[in-house]
Amino acid sequence: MKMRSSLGRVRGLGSAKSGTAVWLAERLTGLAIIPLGVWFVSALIGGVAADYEAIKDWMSNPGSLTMMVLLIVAIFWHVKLGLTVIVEDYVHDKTLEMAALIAIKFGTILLGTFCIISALMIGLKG
Amino acid sequence: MSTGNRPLSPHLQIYKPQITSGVSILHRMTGFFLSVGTLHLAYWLGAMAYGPDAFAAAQEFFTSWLGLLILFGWSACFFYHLCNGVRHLFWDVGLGFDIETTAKSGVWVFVGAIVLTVLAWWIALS
Repeated sequence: MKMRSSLGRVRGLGSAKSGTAVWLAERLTGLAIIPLGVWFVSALIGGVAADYEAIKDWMSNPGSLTMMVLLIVAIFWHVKLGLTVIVEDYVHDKTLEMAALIAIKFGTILLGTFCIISALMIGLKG
Repeated sequence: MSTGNRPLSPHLQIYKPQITSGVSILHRMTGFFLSVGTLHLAYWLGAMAYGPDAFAAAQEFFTSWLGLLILFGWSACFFYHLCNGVRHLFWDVGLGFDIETTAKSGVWVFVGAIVLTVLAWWIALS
């Protein structure tokens, strides 16, 4: 006699049509970092961070601040996905792997939030 | 996961080093280094938010020989990861995935990364 529901039987056995989400997110955040990162590096090369007043002026521009916040989000998201793959590939101890994955999640969210707050503070300071 | 006494697939040391494997391993290494680099991004943005004095201290560090050396390393990692990332995106849409093209594009990744890094520092320092 069948004691399990159909759903219970198939759960975990195959695709739920969401398997590509992480793969796709890694590509899309990477794609976003191409223009955002090149913009940021070009600005640095152009001497936008030469002194405090210069960087404040630059970050106070709504366009720059928007790009900066988007860059921060894309970078830390991409970093989270990349480091996760590295840990999954090389850390074979289950407990250590879990701890590392949690640390990556918390760490990237913490640093990313700090960066966004900092960028907003300097950009919105009159 | 218990691996027991099962046969193993051939591992890294079996294979002859090739341009494709080299480019791939470097992609991972530069990605890891860039992830560590986000700590300095956070330090830089944080210093800005904390005010002119903190920013001046950060500037002093980043323009010291050690700071410049670190910045140079990251710029090289960034441009390398950028070039090979674009190569990956081409593969993801199904282009250039035959052996001959991957070997050729692998060489171009090195060329592109070196040219961009040199160009960036040439502009920045002139």
